[in-house]
Amino acid sequence: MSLEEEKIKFEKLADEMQDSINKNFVESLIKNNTIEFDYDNIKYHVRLPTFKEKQEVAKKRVEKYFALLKEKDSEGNYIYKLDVDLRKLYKERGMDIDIIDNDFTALESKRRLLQEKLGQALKDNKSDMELKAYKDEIETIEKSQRELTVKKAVLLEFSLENQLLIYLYTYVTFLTTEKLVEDKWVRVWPTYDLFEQEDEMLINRATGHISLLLATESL
Amino acid sequence: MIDIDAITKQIRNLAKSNYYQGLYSIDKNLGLRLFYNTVDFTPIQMNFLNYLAFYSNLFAEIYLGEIGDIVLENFIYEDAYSLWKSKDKKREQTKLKQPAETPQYTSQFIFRSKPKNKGQ
Repeated sequence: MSLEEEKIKFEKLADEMQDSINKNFVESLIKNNTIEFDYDNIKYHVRLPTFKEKQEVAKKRVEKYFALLKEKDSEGNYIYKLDVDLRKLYKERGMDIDIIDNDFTALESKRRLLQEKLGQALKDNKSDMELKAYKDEIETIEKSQRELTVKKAVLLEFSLENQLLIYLYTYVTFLTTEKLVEDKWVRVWPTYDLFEQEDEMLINRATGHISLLLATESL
Repeated sequence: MIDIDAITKQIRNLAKSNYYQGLYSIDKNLGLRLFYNTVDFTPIQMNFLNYLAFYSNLFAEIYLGEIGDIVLENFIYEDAYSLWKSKDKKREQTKLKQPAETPQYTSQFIFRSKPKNKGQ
């Protein structure tokens, strides 16, 4: 077996292993509405917020929004820019996010049209070659759409709205992370101050799990 | 950290599997539990439920001969066929909703004025 063949075989094996790990992990995500993890020999879990906690998060959302809106630097300039203002600023520098949005929408229309054609071709038992041609074209469009999404996310990373969202995910992590003490789940941090002083690795792991648990749910 | 696309891929693979499709079909009749929790479903759990229904319909269509099993070859084929199918259904519904042309009725009866009774 040549070196190149061995490399391909190894990469395939690594992919299969990663797939298997992902499959087991995703299956555990499906089976329950909590995610357990170990850190420093202690068992933790994150869970969905209760109704009362959601109300608390909603209140924090308003408070934080206005706090970010008012925050100024030492020279009296507002630190955080709203999405709409950031777009204007980028436009002045020759980067138009509205064009990215329009390009994305145009690609989406094209993709749906191709999907419909592919659906019809599948129904009509067209040749593998014809089906594959549609598939390749759709894959190319999806790749371009992913690139546009990343580009936009990078550009708007520091918008006020995005900073607010990061804060909210962090706040939910503070509220809903629990540790196992004598067979009972108890809150890890009694106050937000204590949470902020916690080991960053633990916070990052818990926040990562919370973002999976809430996924697309709007806060 | 696993990205959301990788998670969606695994959710689809699991929903498509014989094991979960089998559980899903029994679950509908016997009320078996798919999850540990019975309330407060996460978006990932809802997504999984949607895909269970999606694949259940797709398998039924293959079984009924509506579409060949080549459709299961990849997610792009599955999504494309599903989109085409829903659009086709809408087209059919629109056709049915269109008012039919008003039929022109012609009577088979010939009405004549009553003959006068000459004897009166």
